[in-house]
Amino acid sequence: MTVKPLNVLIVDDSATSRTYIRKTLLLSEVSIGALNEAVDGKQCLEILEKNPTDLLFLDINMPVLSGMEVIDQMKQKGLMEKVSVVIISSEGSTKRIDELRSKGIHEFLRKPYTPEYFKEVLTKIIGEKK
Amino acid sequence: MNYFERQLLSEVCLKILMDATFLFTDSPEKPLQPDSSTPLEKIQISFQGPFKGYLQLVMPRPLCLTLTANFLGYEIHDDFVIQNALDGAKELLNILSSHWLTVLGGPDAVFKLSVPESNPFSYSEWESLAGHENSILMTVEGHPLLIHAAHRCTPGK
Repeated sequence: MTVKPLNVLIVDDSATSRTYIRKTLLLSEVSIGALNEAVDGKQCLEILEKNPTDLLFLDINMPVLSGMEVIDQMKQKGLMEKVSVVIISSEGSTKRIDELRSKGIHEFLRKPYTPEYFKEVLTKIIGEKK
Repeated sequence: MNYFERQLLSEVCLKILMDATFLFTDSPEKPLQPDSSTPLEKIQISFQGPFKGYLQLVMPRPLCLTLTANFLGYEIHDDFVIQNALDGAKELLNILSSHWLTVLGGPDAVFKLSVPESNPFSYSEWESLAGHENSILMTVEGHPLLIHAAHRCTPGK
């Protein structure tokens, strides 16, 4: 069976963090189509509107527009049903993580995380998409 | 910070550096002094929630390179590491502060963190801050690392 390549968007204000996500994504051997990056929430929404995206890796604590604000705007635009959102953040508050889950995110990955755990999460999402 | 809070911050720092960069930290009885000819960087993040305050890391610039390189599994001479050494150190401070605040405030506590900032720091400022009761001195890969934190309860929270 041929698996459709995933169009991915990585959003984090830290270039180091974006690079780490990109590295772990490529290590996970998942078939990737377009791979876009954004440095804040505003840029993220602009890319989402212009480019079909299957999977969004989104940070929370960012300048201009936070990850939480991005999710609220994605909900308003009906994008949460079309895009699998994985929050990658150092956030540790169960209250805030529950709030994110209630808004429809697929997974939450707390920094720092291992490439093995990243692959596990990705495999789960791909399984749900089939 | 009281003794317990200092201990907590040291432990969280040790764990995060180990998990994220595979680097061990050490707290020697006689802490290392930075070389006065090596530029120092201060990385700072502030937070608001049940507690309000800030967390700072002060380190020689070569340690910023080491931390970023190890975080990504790159060499310290890699162009990306040289260009993003401060960014990597800021990202590590962001991770460290989130984990510290979760331990300090409990799993339900919600904190709003600032975007980390960096500024050059002088050798004389290091000497002054190193003696402060809210400072912790560590050694990472042969480099001195100064952690400084201040926080107070937010009224009504």
